[in-house]
Amino acid sequence: MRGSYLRMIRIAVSSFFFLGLLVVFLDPVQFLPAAFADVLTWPQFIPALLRISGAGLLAASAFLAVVLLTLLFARVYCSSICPLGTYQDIVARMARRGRRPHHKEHPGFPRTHFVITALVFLSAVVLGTTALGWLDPYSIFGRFAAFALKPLSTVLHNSGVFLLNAAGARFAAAPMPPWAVPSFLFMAATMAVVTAMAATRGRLFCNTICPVGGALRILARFSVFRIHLDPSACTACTRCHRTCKAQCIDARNHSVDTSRCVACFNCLDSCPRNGIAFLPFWKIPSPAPSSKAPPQPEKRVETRLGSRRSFFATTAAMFTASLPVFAQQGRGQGRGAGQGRGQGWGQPAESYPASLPPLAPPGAGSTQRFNDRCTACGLCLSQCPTGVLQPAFLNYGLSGLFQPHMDFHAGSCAYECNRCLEVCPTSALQPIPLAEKKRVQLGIAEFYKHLCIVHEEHTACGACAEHCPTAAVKMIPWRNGLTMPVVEPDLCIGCGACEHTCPTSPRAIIVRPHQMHQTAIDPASEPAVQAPAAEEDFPF
Amino acid sequence: MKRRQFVRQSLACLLAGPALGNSLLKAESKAPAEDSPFPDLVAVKGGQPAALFDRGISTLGGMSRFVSKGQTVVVKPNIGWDAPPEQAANTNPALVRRIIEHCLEAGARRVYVFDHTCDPWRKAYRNSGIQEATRDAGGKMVPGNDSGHYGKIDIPKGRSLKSAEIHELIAECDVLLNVPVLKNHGGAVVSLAMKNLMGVVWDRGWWHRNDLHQCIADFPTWRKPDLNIIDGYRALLRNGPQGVSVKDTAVLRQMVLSTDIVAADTAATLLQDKKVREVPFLSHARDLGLGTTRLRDLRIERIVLSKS
Repeated sequence: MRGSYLRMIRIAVSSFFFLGLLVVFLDPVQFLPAAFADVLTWPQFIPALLRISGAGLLAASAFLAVVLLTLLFARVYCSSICPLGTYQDIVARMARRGRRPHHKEHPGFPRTHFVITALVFLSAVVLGTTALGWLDPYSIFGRFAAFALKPLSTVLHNSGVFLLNAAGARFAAAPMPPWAVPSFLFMAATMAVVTAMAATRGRLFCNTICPVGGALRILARFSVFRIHLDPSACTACTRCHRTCKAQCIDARNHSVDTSRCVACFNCLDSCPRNGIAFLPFWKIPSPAPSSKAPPQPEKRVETRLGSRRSFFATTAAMFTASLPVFAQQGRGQGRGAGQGRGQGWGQPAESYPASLPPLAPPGAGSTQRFNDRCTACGLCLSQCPTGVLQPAFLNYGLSGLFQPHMDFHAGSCAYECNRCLEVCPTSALQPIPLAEKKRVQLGIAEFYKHLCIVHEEHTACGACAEHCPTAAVKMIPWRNGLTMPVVEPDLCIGCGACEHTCPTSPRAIIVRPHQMHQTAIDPASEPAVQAPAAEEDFPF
Repeated sequence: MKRRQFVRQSLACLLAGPALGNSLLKAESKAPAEDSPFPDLVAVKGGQPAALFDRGISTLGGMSRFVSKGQTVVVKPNIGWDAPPEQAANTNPALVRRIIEHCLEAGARRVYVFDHTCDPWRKAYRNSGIQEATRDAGGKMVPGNDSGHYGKIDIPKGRSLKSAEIHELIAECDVLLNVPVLKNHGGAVVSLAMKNLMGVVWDRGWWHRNDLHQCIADFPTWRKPDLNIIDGYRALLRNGPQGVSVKDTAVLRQMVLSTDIVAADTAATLLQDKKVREVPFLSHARDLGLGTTRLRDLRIERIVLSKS
């Protein structure tokens, strides 16, 4: 196939994934269905790997597809599917403007890359997804979209709304997206490194730090198709060098380092003598005895590292990374732990908590399981319609650094929504049906009368019961015609509507989180209500 | 007050909060004369929502009694919840559609529909069926969940609620039609015409914090709706104002229409088998001069469309 065609296909596919993910993250109204986000995140390597612990072979299909793709076509993933790859290409292109490209050949840092990749995957065995999420290129891109691009696009959107409304329209401004200083700083530091590397050395990140690159480069060495430089055609004019994003073409020795090549196909049409092509291995002649100088010593070291030993070592590391994920239980079943009621109404004042553990979103199953699978990519944060999902810092401890948690001061979990778990790329939030999600008990509400308006001011309130979607919080006659809330624990799903809407501060009703999510009972099990029986047509 | 003037005032008072000014005190608008030939309250039962309304409004003198040519109308239903029509958490969309049609036939220039929803507003607007009904009828649905659309007003007659941030359309519109659905309510006992007006203010939590029943009664002293239409076609009688399932609802096929917001709420309270003394905001509103709870003092037209 002609180089320009391959390049166009690459650009089309990479645009689809890059722009598609941008639209999904930045869309202020969640106009697109969740399935669209699922298509874009399905082949992302680390999420696909983490999904394997799910239901059988189907869950492993994305991972196997990427492995197969790489074994066939080398690292096309890195130039087409990975959004961070496309980002780096854009940065490199912008940085190159007005300057002569000076990408020389470079042996790369294969040892560094191998060590980092192995450490990251091995750490996943012990520490869950923490380091894996930090360096997963999809998650890096996601955090960039969520914490840098989305606030910016929201400000732009709201400025437009303001101007249009001043001219007579009646559009609604979008709320500012979830944001936190620690997450922003971490994202900024990561993006600074990636951007600096891309501006100066093209795909240096992909070949030195990225664990996906580290895994795929091992497979790429055995790929069916690869970029090949024909020694007999090469005049060392270095035109191909200048197009190479990965500095992996060695014109002097007429070789292309397939393990570092990101298959962007920019080089194919650059050779005036058609010396570079994307060929299957059977069309590549075995190297003839050459009159040129023997390979440099560094090359031999590089070859050794690409040996069978490192292939098995890295593969073993990758699979053991999935082990804690296989070993985890699903979400817990059973009735909500009945919170003992204090004497009289609700809980005694003394047991009001100074602080509470973090609450994982529905679909997580348990906090532990969630921390082990979430890469903090920020996609669920960007999709949540109420803003209850907020980035944590150390709320979960180090094992859940930067991962999302439910913040009932920011919002509450919308009863008729399961967007977060529909889009989660790693199945840290399992895509259970909405009817099932409505029965997941994240925690149980507790009422503290010493803080309640009704108890203190002797005026009516009932905001908590008003917002409770399962009527777990009911208003019961208290005195003087006033009613106060009572929580029925088995009906409570811990959605936080009561806590969020309680007009006092500190809140008189709060959700105590479960470490392992439970299941609430069916809220609609009462018989149908009776209409008032009337003898006359009207009671007045 | 014109829209641009409102926005300029809002911009000028950005720090202090936009103010709509006392000139907008609209306690009495289009109040019918005392010797009006029309009944004070109409109660209809035994039909579909559109049929109930057709009969009810014609008994009251037709929509042209309330809407003149070229006027701006706000139809304020319950749209608080992301729930389908059969849940009766929101006003029946067929009723909203019929009301808009009547307004446009009477010559209204524009009919707006909105609510400051509790659930995510796009889903509530859509799943309640009211967005589609409004569009079909030729009305315009506007968002109510953007604080930028709200401005401050003073409520001098209020005993607890002395000021509020209200949606600009409530200040701007010529005609306000209040269209709640008939519900019980955990905190306020019933959610009817007066409670429905809570959906035009920004800070609802303030009312809960500062004597809910008094605030519910205070607000209409600033502006009484021109007409109250209580949708009792399908009523939410248990676990209101949201309800848990359709088992909390009952199809009553009733409607109450009145310019007297207190009388309308009184009648609708009795329809739920509750007593006036159980609902403090009724007597608070009566004491503020907003209307009467003594239904026997009123001319009431009772209509039964069909017995079944």
